[in-house]
Amino acid sequence: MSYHKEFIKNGERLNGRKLSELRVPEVDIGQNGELTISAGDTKIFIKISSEISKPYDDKPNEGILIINNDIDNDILSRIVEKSIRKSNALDLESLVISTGKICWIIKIDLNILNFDGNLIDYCILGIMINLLLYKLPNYDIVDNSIKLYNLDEKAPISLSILHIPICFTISFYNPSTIEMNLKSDEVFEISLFDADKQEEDLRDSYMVITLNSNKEIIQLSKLGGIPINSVEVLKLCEICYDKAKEMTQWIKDVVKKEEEKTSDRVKMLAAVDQR
Amino acid sequence: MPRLELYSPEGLRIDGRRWNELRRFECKINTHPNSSDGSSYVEQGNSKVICTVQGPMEPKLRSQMNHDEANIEVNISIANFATFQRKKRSKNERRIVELKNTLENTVKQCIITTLYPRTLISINIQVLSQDGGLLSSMTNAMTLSLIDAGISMYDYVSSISVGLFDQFPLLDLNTLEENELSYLTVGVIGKSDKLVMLMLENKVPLDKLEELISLAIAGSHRLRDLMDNEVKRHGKLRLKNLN
Amino acid sequence: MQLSPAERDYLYDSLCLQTPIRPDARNLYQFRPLEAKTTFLPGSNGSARLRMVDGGECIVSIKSKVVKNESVNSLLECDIDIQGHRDDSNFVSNLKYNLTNLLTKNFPFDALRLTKKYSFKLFIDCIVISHTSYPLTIISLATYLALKTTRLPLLVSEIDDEEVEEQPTFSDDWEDSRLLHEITGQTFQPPIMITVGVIGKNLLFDPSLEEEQVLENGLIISFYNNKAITPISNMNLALNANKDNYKGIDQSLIISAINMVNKYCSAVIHALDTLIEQDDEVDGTIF
Repeated sequence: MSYHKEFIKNGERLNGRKLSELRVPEVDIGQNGELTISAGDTKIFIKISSEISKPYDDKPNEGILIINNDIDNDILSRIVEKSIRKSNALDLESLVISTGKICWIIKIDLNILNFDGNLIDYCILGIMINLLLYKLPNYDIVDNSIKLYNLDEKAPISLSILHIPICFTISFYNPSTIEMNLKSDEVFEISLFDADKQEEDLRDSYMVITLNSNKEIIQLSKLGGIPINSVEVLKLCEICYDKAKEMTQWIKDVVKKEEEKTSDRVKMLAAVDQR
Repeated sequence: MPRLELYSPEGLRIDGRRWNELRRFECKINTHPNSSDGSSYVEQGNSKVICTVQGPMEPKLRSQMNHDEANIEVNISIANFATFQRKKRSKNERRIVELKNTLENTVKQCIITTLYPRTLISINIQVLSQDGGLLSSMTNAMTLSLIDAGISMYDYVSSISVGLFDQFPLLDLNTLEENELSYLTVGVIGKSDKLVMLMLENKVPLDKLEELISLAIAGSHRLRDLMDNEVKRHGKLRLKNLN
Repeated sequence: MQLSPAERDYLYDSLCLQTPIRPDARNLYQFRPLEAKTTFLPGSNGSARLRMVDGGECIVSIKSKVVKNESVNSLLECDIDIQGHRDDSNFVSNLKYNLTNLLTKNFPFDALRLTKKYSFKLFIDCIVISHTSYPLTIISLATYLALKTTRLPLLVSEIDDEEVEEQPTFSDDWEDSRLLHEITGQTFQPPIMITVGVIGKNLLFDPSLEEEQVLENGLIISFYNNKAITPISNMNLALNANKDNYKGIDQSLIISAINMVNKYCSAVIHALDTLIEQDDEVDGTIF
């Protein structure tokens, strides 16, 4: 595939996008907690479910968050954990109903339906949209037990999301030899955003950065691979921040549109009930 | 431990260092001449790491043989007594597998692997004591033992950690500081500004990233010089013994 | 290790002679040269590192923990980690069992008792960084050194705490810490295990890797309080050999082996003790 690499070295991509252009994701929202996100040919199905349980002994005032993925990819799991769990995107303390006794478990299941590059970014994007839309059933505490209401009996509760992490995987390509890259100050690597499968196979290394619109970096992993000039790294972080701001706005629009659709549905049902 | 004590108003940290001071760095190469082809021992503060290298040698399995380049394998073993509280660790723990992959990908960049096709270079890292800077002490020990084994490399890889206390960057954190602060670890090639490794697992404001990375690069350059001094000293000793 | 048939025959014949010739010209009862260092791990109560001339190296660390007497079966726990071997393999499990068995049967547990309710539990962690011959000897000798230099903090609270609810408290001054033999009041010599190779009518102490390949049998004999004691077991030391000379052992040889151990092993203990005395500069560096 050397012709493909030549293209990239000249700053062009076979899929017609610019080097720093991302694919436009499409979100397909099903029932409460079901969401399919697709970008290009990458397609991921994310299911969120919730259950009542007892908090862990060493963390009595926190709920429990479990993230599973069906493919055994270490890197994907580690980065998802760091971006979402470690950064406390979902406020676990808000999931506690009774300290030390009753709390919610939120289980997120990732199912990769089709892979065309850049799983990590779209998984995290899909998980965040799904968490923002997810509704927990409302409840009453009767004696020492819990009574759960159906979603249409009593107004359901949204999850408390403290911030929205957005993830970017940047792929690097070495335009010359290893020796020139290591020893010379003038050789700059080519970086591109949102690689598809072909581009991922050709890349020399990659960097995954997660940040939010509060200008905070949640995590940054460049675990080996060809060395990158630190000035480049900082420049890329700035570009990622601008994109993160746009993405956050896009997510908020998607969530708002979906909520309006559901509230219209609720109003229609209420109108029918009244009659 | 209250956060304030980590960096006093006079500019002193809990162990008396200033913001840009490295911990005591001791290293020795060729510590295990009879049981390995290359070996090193690194102490960064109270963190102690032994690294041994076997290779280039015949791969143990035919499937591991790569026809263009050398195959590189890193094995990490953290002793049960390495941390203050004794803790038994499984070799397949997620974090250890991540560190292992990181080190493999880092070291592949500086070894001239095309010079050793169809061979296996096996690197064994034993952590005896851990007091902060785990990834950086392992990387430094690995670089030194590869040099001792005589394996051709492009340049040193030196690594250090940097943390952020409010507005102040602090160089080379120990365990107490790592538990409280956000920190990142970098791996730098030689005396350049090129980063082969960058690992940040906590929240850091984007504006502070530049300061942290430049402090880390300066610290790594200093470490590289310390490591180079040891290699040169050992070389002179060997030369003397030959004559 | 693979030896050619010529090498095997040569070694076997040399070792079977009336006065056997060992490849490194040692006596029958001579150990290989070793170097050791103690007390270099500041986070552990006791530590020792033993290195043999053939590259075998073992680091032992002893850490203590205060436990309630009722909640614990044994006050000693051993763990062995050998680089290159799985933790649940037979090789490692056998070594662990041998070491645990030996120590739990021959240890002054009174030294560990603090109060009526609490005692110290010792965690003995061995790491074998590399080994050529069977590592039991280096593990056992390193454990000896580590146990002899283990310091435990001094108890300052009441010994009789039947009625009292408080947990034991200790002196903050490390100068007040005591070695195990200072606590018992008598000399403390942890037990050790010696490997003895059997070939023909000859017995060899501390067989090297080449010698192990041609041995007819191997004995593991424990030594404590200047006497050979049980556990005594035998095993085929020629591991990973494609052809070995393993066969049954004559009972007279077992008795000779025990007598040999009784005669010569005190010198080993004496050498280790001298090593500890000379190693008194606690500079904390390993190398």
